Amino acid sequence: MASRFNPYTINKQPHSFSLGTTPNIKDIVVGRCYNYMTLINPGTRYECEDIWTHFEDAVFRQPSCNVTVEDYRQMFHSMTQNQPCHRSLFWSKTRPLMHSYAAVMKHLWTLEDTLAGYMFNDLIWCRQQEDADFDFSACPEWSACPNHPVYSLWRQASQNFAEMACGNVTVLLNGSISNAFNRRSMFGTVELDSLDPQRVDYVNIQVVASLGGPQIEACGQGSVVDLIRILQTRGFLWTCTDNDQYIVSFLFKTVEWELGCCFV
Amino acid sequence: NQVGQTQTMNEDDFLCNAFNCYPHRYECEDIWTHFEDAVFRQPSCNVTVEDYRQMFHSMTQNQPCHRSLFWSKTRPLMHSYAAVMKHLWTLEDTLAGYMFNDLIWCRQQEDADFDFSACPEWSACPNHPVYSLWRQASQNFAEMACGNVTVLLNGSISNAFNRRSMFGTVELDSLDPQRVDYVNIQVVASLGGPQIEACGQGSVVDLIRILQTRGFLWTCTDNDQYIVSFLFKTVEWELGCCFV
Repeated sequence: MASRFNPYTINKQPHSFSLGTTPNIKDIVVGRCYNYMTLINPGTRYECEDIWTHFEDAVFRQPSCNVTVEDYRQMFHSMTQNQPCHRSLFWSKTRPLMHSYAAVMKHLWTLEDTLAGYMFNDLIWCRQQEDADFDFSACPEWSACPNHPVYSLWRQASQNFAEMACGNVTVLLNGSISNAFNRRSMFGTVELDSLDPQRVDYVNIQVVASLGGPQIEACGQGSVVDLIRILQTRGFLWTCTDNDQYIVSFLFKTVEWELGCCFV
Repeated sequence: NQVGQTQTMNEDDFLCNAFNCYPHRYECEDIWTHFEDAVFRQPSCNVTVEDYRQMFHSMTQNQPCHRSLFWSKTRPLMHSYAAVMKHLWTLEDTLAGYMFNDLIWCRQQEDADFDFSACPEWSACPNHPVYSLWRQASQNFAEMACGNVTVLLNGSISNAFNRRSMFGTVELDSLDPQRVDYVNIQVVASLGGPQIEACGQGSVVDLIRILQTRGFLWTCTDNDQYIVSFLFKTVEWELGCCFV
């Protein structure tokens, strides 16, 4: 572990130390729960210790690769919350842009703004083979597991998030990759199918190419056409915008500054 | 939507000398114990900076150079800005700032426990437990600042540079001319707000004079076009215009 590297580039070069359960996961998860109801979304009340107990019950019920969505049901039951209308932001393959954007546009509501998303974001967990405890040394890859404990939780959280979405919702897609709308992504498999035409008014699709990146997909072509077709079939109203000028200029400013240009 | 399969190392997880970087781990429970010791030592209105010393000793960390952002009376802009400009380093990015941000605490009069029902106002206390912690955290933050630093001031208020703010009382005095190269002052008026102060007038002149006296190199910019357009876009979107 004592190798020479430049600490200022750490964030740009992820190293995998260990693929095991996140250290101190209980303190982090329970602490985030208290943080959420006290500071992030005050006025909400949760039993954080109960949520944790239900979480452990789900993860420890069976050896690692077999934690189903159903196993998490009691946990999610203790985490239900309302969701503001006209603010839901869905995203696929646009994580850096989405994070910056949602951090500034505080009225937007992403999965990470829900209690479940907030509590479990960026964490890894799995059970040991033998004992009913977390395995901190290694966890299986998603692809190695029929019912991966982490995937199952996010699948249910994403489904709840989409089912509760109301009013106008926004979908942010990456125009610089093929399959901007990926039928195998969480958005394509779970969230899209869980949107409720009775609750949702417009689905506003935003296709944004990365700066200096190629324009591979756009509203009128490629996978986005498939998305629109699905929305139409299911009775959603929709709009689609390529490279919305405000998002693009936001991106542009972000990159400019990240490059150290013009500030500091 | 997805979970990272690799664990990214955080910069503050490492202490580096000239040759190597080693993982730096905090003893969170110890930090808490030292915190409680400080807060409970005396009845509420008398927790000094010195009381927190052991706690801060267990929280020391390195700070990246050329990235420190100081701010005064510009909290909303600073938060949005720093959230996007991830390379910037504010007090809230330090361990102490991160742990205690937005929290309130004080001891009961009688028992050595927290008073969850009421805490004194800052002005009511000679040594307010919350103020003392932030004072020391701010001092550490400023002392460790290195390279070019930025100061973000609000051009739409009088006393943009306020000699009684945390920046004016603690942070400015703790900046080290041996460690700091340039102090880049950014005076930004709020959108649609008046231009009350600017680089060449008012309190900002006092700030520049102090910097000069102490031997700092400095620059000052009014309404930097990039910050202003960032602000503009933020407000546009907050108003619901042009998106969603």
